[in-house]
Amino acid sequence: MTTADQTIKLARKDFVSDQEVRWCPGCGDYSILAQTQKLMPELNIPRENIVFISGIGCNSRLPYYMNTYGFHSIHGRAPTLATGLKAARPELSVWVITGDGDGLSIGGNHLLHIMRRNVDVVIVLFNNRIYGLTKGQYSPTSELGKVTKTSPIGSIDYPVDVCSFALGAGATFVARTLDIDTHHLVTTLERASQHRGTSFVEVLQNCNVYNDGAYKEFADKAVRPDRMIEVEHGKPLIFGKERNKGFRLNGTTAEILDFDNGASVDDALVHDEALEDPTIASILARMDYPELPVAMGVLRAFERPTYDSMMEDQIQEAIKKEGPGDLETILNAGDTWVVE
Amino acid sequence: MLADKIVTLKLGSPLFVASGSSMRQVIETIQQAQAGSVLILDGKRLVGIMTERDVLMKVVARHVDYDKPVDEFMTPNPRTLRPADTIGDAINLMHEAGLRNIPIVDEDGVVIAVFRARDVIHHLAESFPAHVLNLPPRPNQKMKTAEGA
Repeated sequence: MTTADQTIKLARKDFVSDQEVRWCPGCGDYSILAQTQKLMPELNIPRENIVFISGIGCNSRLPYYMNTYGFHSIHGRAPTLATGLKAARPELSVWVITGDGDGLSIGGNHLLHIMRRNVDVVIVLFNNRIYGLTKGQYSPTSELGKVTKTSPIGSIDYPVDVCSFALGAGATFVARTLDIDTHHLVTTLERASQHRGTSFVEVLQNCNVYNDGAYKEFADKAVRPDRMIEVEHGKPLIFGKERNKGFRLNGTTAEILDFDNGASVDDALVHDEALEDPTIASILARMDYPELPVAMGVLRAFERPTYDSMMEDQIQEAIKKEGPGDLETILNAGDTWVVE
Repeated sequence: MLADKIVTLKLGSPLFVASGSSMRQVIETIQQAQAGSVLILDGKRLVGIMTERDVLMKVVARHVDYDKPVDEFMTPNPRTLRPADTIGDAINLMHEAGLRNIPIVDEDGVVIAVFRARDVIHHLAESFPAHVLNLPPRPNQKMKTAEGA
């Protein structure tokens, strides 16, 4: 990401805009906004070098509430604007704010390509499994059978797994976090900001008006230790309130280890986020309660040249070979004529 | 929620200084870390705690020699809890003894974390997201209907 200016000392309040925050009381977006504002001073980047670009949705109000540059753009197209901006101004810190509807429905195509290209941006996808802004239609991540205003007898859509989509698109940093685990959320966003390349973060976010409790079954604080598993690079995959369960792969089959019944901690899979092969990360991404604990954390993080850096290299190479270039000359080159 | 064990919480790493450190060093350490307390160790053994309240009430404007060892100003042998103790136990101790920072020690008496009053607030906020964590910035901000298209 953008290099930091070490002389800048901003505080969280410097990133809070004067706009009235108009999300519904209780919405998980408040937590995501709070942690994003809390993180910004730690980046040591001037506010004028930070841009938040959103599409359409409740999530997409976020740029208004950040005292940085921003775009509230059109439905599903934030990744395209972000790609163009990063290509033109590679020194900027560019954040894409999207949701399960904006990013995976109308914007699915653009989201695929920005990740495929490895453009150096951070994408935060607020996944609340519903179309919230338009008051409660099912989304690409809503569960099969979900009853909503547009699926009165139950959705017959199979939902897309968000992190699997990102891994399949080739994102070099893929992570999942929770709106109500604020420490995990801010540390995940911080890791995403430090990665060079496309950082994709899925935030499991609760819409308390149109889809309340979407993740309650496994994400509620009381049950989370037993139903979710935090993955950390270099550490064995262990979970449970008593830290008495583990996870390993038997070939490609996920297995739960019970340390109270003969299994050993040494048998647990040690997470390696740096694997370029997305196979294990995909298995972790697709784990779902009740069969398996839901994985949260950085599933994958490896570096390869970014689109913007390769483009900059090509431009410099071309200038070295053929000079700085002149737009007028280029426009008038080739088969042109004048109408008199 | 209150029956949850302290070990289930993500507590911050404690700040340590050695017994015998000067008060000047301790204050600089607290300031640099922006911490609310520092634990004083003799080797690995916990011998005392110095909180920001202690600094305010015992050191600031008290005409003390800042080169004197922290041992003269700290609260010696602080009350501690174990990781398997509950959050309810911690709140009870804070309530009964008026503490805001409780060192958490393992079976060998080695300090592994500090449970602070702000950890209680943090735990409460995350346990009640709809009613605490995710409220609008202005307490009286209410909208008659949910905004949307």
